[in-house]
Amino acid sequence: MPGGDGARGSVELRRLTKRFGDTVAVEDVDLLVRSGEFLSILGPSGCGKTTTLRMISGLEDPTEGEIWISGEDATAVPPHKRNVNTVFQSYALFPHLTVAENVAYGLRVKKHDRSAIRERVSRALDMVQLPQLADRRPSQLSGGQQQRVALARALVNEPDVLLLDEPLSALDLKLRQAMRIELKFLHERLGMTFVFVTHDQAEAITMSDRVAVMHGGRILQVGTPEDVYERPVSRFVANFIGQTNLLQGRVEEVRETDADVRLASGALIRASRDEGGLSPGSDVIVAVRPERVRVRAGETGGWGADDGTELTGTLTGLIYLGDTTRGTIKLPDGTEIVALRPNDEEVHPFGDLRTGTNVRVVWPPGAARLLTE
Amino acid sequence: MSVVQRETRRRVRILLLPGTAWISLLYVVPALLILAYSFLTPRIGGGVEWDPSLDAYRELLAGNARASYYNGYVTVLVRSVVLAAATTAICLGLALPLAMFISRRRSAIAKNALLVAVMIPFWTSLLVRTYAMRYLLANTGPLNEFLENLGYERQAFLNTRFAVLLGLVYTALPFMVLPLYASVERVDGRLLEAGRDLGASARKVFLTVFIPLIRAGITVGCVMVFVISVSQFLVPTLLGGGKVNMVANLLEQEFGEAFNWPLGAAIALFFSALTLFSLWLVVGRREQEEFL
Amino acid sequence: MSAAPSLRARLSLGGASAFVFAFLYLPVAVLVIFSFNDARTGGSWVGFTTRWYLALAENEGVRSATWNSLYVAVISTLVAVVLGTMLSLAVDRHLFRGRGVVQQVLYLPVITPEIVTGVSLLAFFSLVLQGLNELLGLDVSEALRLGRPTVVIAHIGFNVAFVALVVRASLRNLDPAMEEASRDLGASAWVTFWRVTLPSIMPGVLGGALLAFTLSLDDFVITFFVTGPGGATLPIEIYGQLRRTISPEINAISSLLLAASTVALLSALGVQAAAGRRRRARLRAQPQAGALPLQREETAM
Repeated sequence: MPGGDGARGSVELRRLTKRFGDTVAVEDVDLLVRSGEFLSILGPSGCGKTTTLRMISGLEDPTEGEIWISGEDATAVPPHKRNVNTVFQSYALFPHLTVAENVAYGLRVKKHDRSAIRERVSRALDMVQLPQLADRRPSQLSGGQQQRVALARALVNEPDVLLLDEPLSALDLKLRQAMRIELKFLHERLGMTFVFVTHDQAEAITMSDRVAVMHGGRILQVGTPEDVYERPVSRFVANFIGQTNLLQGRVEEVRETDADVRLASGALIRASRDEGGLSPGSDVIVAVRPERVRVRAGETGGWGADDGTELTGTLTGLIYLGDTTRGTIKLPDGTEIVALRPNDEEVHPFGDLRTGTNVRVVWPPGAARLLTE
Repeated sequence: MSVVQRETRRRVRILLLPGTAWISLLYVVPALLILAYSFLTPRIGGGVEWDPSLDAYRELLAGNARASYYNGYVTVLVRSVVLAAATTAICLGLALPLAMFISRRRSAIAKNALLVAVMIPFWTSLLVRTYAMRYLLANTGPLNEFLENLGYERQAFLNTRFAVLLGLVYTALPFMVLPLYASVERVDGRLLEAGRDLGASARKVFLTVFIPLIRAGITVGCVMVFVISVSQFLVPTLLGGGKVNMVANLLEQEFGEAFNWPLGAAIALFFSALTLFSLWLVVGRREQEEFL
Repeated sequence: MSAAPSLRARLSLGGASAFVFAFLYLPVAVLVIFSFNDARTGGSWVGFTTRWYLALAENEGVRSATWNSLYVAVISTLVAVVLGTMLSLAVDRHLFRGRGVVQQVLYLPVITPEIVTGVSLLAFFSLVLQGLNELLGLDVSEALRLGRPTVVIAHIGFNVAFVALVVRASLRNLDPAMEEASRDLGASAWVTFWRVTLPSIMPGVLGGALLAFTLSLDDFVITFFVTGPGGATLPIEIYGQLRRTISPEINAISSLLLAASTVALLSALGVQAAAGRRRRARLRAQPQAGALPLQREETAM
């Protein structure tokens, strides 16, 4: 179960910065990974997540800042002396060794005795369900099998922290989904700290205890998947994770937990907010998840207090997506809102509504969130 | 700088030092020594007296003719350059069809076999190959024997400019084939088709599209052939018999029997400068290391 | 390669190529054939014999030269392989100030004409030996001279460069993630080299070694200028005999030298080919590092 910092398997990054010449890859990152948790670092290509991971493993030296592993300052410790192991994106299996020899490598280097090695290797291979491939060469394995060997090779050393650098990105969809479940299961079984780097937000959301969203070398938000999804702090996070509607507007009245925002279309809506300074007149963005948006027939103005908020517009499109139906509504000022409803009932989720008709757009209280940028 | 970075620096230095030092000691320091020697006076029996003098350069530039052995130094230098240039042109003419022929083979096995067949002479001792040419061309050798059997007269092939040129081409040809082949192989056939499609005849496509595309290979090949030919020692010695001397013979003379090391040094420097300058003119500062 | 060339063009291409191959191989073929000719001189075929080869075994000069050649080749190759591989590792795997200069220095032995190297090494070694003799107070009878040791030193010089160049090609093909994985798993830099890097670049190292061995065996010009009494290698011996006598024995020893070089070349090619096959098989099975991320299907809108 997650423990505080200083515990075995905790990772703390303090003011971590990495520069390559003039380029800043990682800027002033502070992060605490609790012992035993599954934390994903999520972000687009080039955001610095892999560089951060490599600094934790020791394969890259930070320009500034500190790295604390299991309560000790590991910043100057070379990679082979850290009790941290990496599963590489390209697997990096040694082609001149068999699967068993690959998995045994870390143990042999530390000069464990032969029978202990054999036993641990066999357990590791069992754990990833590949005991029968022990004597094959990496070139004889499929991508998924190679990935599991890479996993076993790292796990057999029983590190304090396991680092995974986009390990699933080279697998096809079905295999990826299966591996996500397996990895999650392994994590629960082993109780080891996992730091997982990915650009795939669905992956991060489904597997992690917590997600750290990174962009431009900085960490934008750290929180549980639900935190990050439901309460994104910035436009980038809101857009990167799932789909979201973004509405421009100006603040009219500010209260403790919410504010009134006048949208460009003229409508007035209520959006919930976090603490922090906010003054009337400031330009803000309101984010609403499509799956919270409902569409009703007819026209009404002003507040629909029980339904939270509503806007009026024209239904411009309905697309059937198999498990969901997607509707687009155009507001008077041209802004488009997307509504996503599941096809889980006998009736059409959008009722009898036809494209071209005037509709009301509503959502539950709290579904609209204020983003400052 | 972290401990790790200091460790790495130290390791890199240890790895670099022996090899770099060895090469520098054998290729940089001696060159500087030669530079120094060219400004000193010769010692009887070889070596130098540490006595500054410009005599070596004076003798070199005056183009003094030395009786009976060979013509003046400048003559020999010019002859070397001319022969090397001719060799380069001939090698280019012979190697290009061969490179194209190999590149056209459809089966990879045939291509590899042909390349190996080119590489074997490339790898074998220059001495053996030059001797083979001499043996073949000798007055009492197989070629003359063959000609006589056909009813022709025996020819004195050896000790002529023809023999030396033939020997130079023979020696240098493989050095032209391989870089040319590398370039030819990389040509995208579709570009040639586009040329034909746009109305150019086969000959025009060859001259205006194909040749420019393989320019890098031609340059590398010509440079290598030129440098090897102009500095050849064995060919003029074994096939020229003292009648067709090139720069290398001059150097052997001065560092050997004549024991005029400063003059030899001056010749070596002059020759190196000449070669480097002509190369720089042709090539500029392009990187061709992939071909080496 | 291009749009279908005319028949005439194809034939002339083939004809020219045949001519070039004939030109390249004829003299050497004649040399080998006549090494079996039962006549001391002359260009006509008399009969088949192996007596010239047998005579070689009696030839003291040839025997000691062969021994010298092997000695020089083996030692210079071994030293060059170690130094050259180290050089290659440093240059390929690390960025440091002066890296460009080192790379240029690496090319010096390759681009410098042998005659220039020969005379400058003659000057250099003579000076050094003279200095050593004076320092150690050795008189004429015991003085250090040019000879086999100077030949070995000179051969190491150019072999280091060639080995470094060949090994560097091998290193370029090696995925750096491999070495990182090894360090990640607990191996220090030295252990990583032995267990991961070296096995992977072994074909390059072997190829470089064979190249160095052949270059050393065949070298004439540089050896000619830096050798001395007791330091005659096979090419030097052959050259000496060439000047003095005409005998098919020279054909015989030349043919043997030829055979040795060819065997070395084919071995080097064989090693490279096998390594190439293995590498291609491995690449087919493994994803490339930094592969393009797959589409985000689940989030399609």
